[in-house]
Amino acid sequence: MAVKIKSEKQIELMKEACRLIAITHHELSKVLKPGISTLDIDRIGEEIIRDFGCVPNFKNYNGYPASICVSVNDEVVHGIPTAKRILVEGDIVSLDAGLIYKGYHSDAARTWGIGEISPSARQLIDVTKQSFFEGIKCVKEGNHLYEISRTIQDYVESNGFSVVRDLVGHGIGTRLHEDPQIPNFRQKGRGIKLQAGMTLAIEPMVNEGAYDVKWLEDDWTVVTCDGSLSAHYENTVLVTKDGCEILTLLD
Amino acid sequence: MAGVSMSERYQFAKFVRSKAGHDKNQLYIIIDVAGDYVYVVDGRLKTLEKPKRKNVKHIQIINDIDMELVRKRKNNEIISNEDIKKAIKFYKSRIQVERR
Repeated sequence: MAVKIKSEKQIELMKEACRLIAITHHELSKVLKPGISTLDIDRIGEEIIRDFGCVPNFKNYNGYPASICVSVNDEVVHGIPTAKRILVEGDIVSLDAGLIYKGYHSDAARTWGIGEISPSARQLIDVTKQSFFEGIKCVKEGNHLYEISRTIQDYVESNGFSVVRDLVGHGIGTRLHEDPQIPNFRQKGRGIKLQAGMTLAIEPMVNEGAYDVKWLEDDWTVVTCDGSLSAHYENTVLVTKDGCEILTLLD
Repeated sequence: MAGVSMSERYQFAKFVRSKAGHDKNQLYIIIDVAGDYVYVVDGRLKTLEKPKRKNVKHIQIINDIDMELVRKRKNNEIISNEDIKKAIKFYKSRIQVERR
């Protein structure tokens, strides 16, 4: 397990890759409305990324067939966009996207509500988002990795939801998935010591019901076992001397 | 895109086969995972006291898990090398039945 420390030059490239994916998410959020198919979202997303002169890094990653992961309601992550799946009022949809800019990867995810959604769905989305911000309070040079895991789990469970165990965050850089793995739940030990220059994709996945998930037959789509709603929130962050910088958020 | 958790993929009591090393093709059971390595045992030469550390690149995961070991661990019962040997024996007899 070797966690790469990025040089200043590499960090500049990472920042640009992350800024572009943040814009992509911002643009995608505008097209979400009842009646749009998940395939349309993928097409629009891919177009935006290609217009930047970048390459969507999810496409063909380990055989994933699309550019944007679109996961609706009980789908946790890695939903495959299709023309048949049409969003309707009251759905919640998680969009996960990434791109490669001059060899450097970015990765970010957001969950949105379509039209009017139930108060509990709204709370799920808010808690998921806030759990990320609680988690990154522990990100700082010299702190240990699993402090993030513990903080996220504690925040989520104190709000009555559960965090997914089978999927984790990850380091990111010249590859989409680098070391270390970043679980969103308590671990044995403290984990590696964080150092300035590490770039991490921290991504809590939160279920309304139990944390158990299963893979569908397409080998990609992950759904909750009990059929409850699930939300996802992710940003790529840079560890610094006295905290962290969120790279995939627009000002 | 979320990564698949190492500790879930290389779960306790899952069967694996060695792909490389002098123990190639040997059947083992995972007992622990750390970084890019898993600790495996066969209860005979690689015991619980002295498990074999193997790079995950050098093992083939078999999607089969010994539920008896999982149950024992859940109930905090002591697991012995005999239990490991039994689990491997049981697995081998199962796949032989399937081959027929």
